Amino acid sequence: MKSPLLVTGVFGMIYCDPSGAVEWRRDIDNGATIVGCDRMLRRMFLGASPDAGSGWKIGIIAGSGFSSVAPGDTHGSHPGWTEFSGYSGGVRKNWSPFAATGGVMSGIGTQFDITSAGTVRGLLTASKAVIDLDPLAILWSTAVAISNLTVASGGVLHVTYTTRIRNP
Amino acid sequence: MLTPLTPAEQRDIVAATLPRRGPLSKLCDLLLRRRRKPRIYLSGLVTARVMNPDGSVAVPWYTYPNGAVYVGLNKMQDVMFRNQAAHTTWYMGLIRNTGFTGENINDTMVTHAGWVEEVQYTAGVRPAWSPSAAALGVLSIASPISLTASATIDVKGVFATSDNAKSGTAGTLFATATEGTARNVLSGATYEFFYSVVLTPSN
Repeated sequence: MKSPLLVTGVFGMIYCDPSGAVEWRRDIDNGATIVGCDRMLRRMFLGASPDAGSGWKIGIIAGSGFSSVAPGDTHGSHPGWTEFSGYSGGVRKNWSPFAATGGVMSGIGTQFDITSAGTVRGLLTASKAVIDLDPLAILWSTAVAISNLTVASGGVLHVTYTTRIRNP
Repeated sequence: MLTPLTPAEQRDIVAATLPRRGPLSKLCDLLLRRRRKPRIYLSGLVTARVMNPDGSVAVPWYTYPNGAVYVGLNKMQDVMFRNQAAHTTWYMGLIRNTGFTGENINDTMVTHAGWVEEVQYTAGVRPAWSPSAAALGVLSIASPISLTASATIDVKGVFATSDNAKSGTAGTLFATATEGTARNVLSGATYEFFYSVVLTPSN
């Protein structure tokens, strides 16, 4: 495959309401951050230490107050969005991918048990579990839907994440 | 006299090769209330020249893109997302024109049926590729890698791997880069090249 190659990441979201019925589902493509790209290059080609010692985590981008995501976003600063934390556990969920094959990496899904009604706009991958604005942590990617999506307390958001490097 | 491209210039060249959306595509997004898909592009670029034994320029600077292979792309994701062991140093080798039939996405250091390594240069091992820390998604070297031919050779391209043994089959092959026309390098002449990897996000 000749350059340029396309690095894609797709989140699959299925939301079940408190009764267990599927209320909505979305597949959303991620965009990376500049700091995330730098870290990927440093990790791959310079042997830099892993950023996510305990594995990468998935968080939720809130619908409330959302304006945009941008390549310049960092874990410590992302003026166009805030993080939704109304789910059990209070920390981001693990993403546990299998070994990449054929340029594709995927993992088993994770779920967010919603404890507070609200709206979600998208998802993120970060190098730490705690929901905060730690400037030393790494924000790898963000992905957002075209509009806000409603969730209710007692509902469950099931999430999968797959990355792939391929021809455009 | 032409000067080598700076890393920023190499990044600009890569950026110019990226697919662009036309007005019609943007209009469709608006009409369909469709959000434009974010894009992340991975590119590799070689900038090379050939110098005569007397120090004069035989072939001035020119550029060509690399092609990645699955084992390299898999390694990139495994290292980044699964905390697998990373290679701390990468090395560059030459691809011989004689016998070259093609690169393949399934090439590895053990098996690459379409090309053979050109080892007729004075250095005893493959040269290290030692880029500075990535910034703005660019990984590049400040000075070119220079290999002096120990016999007259025709260079088809270069490859990036994690092992430095000439003709060795160990290590991870990341990418190969070849051009349409091979470059003749006389015995005692040098093949000089930069190699850059660019990861460009676009939301």
